[in-house]
Amino acid sequence: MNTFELHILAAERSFYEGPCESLIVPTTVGMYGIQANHLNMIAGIVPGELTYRVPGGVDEHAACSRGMVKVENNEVTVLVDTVERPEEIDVNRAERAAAEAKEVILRKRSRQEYMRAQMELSRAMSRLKVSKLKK
Amino acid sequence: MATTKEIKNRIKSVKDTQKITNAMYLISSTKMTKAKKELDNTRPYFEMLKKQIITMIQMTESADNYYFQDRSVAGEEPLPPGSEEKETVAYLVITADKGLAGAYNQNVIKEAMRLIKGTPSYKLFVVGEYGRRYFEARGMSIDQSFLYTAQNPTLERAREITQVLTGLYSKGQITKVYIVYTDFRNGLMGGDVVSSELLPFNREDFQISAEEAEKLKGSFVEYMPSVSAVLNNVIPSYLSGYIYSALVDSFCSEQSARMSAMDAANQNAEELLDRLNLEYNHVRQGAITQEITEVSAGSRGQKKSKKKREEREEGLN
Repeated sequence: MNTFELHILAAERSFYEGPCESLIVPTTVGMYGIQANHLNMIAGIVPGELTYRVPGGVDEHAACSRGMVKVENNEVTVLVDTVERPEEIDVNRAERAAAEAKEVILRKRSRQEYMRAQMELSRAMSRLKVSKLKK
Repeated sequence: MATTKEIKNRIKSVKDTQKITNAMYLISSTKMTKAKKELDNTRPYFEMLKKQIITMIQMTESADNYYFQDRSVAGEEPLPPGSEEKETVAYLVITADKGLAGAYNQNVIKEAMRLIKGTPSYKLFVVGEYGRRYFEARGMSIDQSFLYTAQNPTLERAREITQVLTGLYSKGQITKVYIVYTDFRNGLMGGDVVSSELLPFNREDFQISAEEAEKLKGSFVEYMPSVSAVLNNVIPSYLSGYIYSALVDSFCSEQSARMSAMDAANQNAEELLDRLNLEYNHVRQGAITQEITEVSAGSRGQKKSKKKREEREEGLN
């Protein structure tokens, strides 16, 4: 299978650098699959589950937050604020964050708080979802 | 002249103070190294992000959205009527939590005051206890709910600050955002105070060389779903990166200012100790000399009186 170069960069570290067979990212317009020789494009990433396959390996899952993905001449760059492997996710913390966010949403205080809580909730939910994929 | 006991006490207190300043010096230096290392970790990401934003802005003429100048062109979120004339400028001022850092806080505050003077309507967002106290004492309008410490900057804190500012900005409550912080540069002289415009973005700030622009024109890229949407998605990340590096730069400058202040304090203490030691020795020597004089004078006096007595006794005999 054809491969392409994948760079996944999070704010605090470089998450993955190397060849990749296929990549699925959650974009603003839904889940988006990328394989080798994809058309050049740029899309926004929303918090969710990111999946990539290293040549000859199995699907690797990770929880990511907001950012963008760029495909340019068979080289894919994923820029996201945070990205975590299932085993790195602190389930308790994510659950707590989700509960807190839900409560803030219910309180219906200000628009700003609501939006923040919504973002927080989507991050926490995607973390919890990915953490279930632990091998 | 002071007694030896007084001088001794003085020497002890200076030594104790020196211990504290020395410890503060060491603490500052480790804190600075740590913060710098964390900033270096985030550098590749934000540099890449900036490059992408530049590319996106360059490739499309129509990428006007509300983060950019000319809000009228963008037309994405029309401002409520009446708010256009009244310009409210937000100042994000980054100071330290504590003093004892030379002129660090004063420099930042001076720059902030200079900017404020020219703006009739402003809002202050102050990071750090020192600055908050200063502006509060002068009865200036600072955002009371904006409570962030300048200690150990984290990306999470930068994100929260970004959310607060972009939230107000998109609602039109503030029309401009400036940041006043201390740039670390090479760490000498405790850094320079910098003020720059965070929002709205200025197209001119994202210019690249004509050569690179030509190269970009040749390539074709598809945007999902639109340039504006992608930009909107990444600009908050970029801003939090910018604020984070400003926080770290300021924190490093604060620590380096404190280091040089403490270094000066150490040297002063050293000088003071030298002088006090000299004085102590003087006084001690003086006391010894006096004692010897007293003793010898006493013994001579006794000798004399003894001689006299003997003479008298001889005379009698």
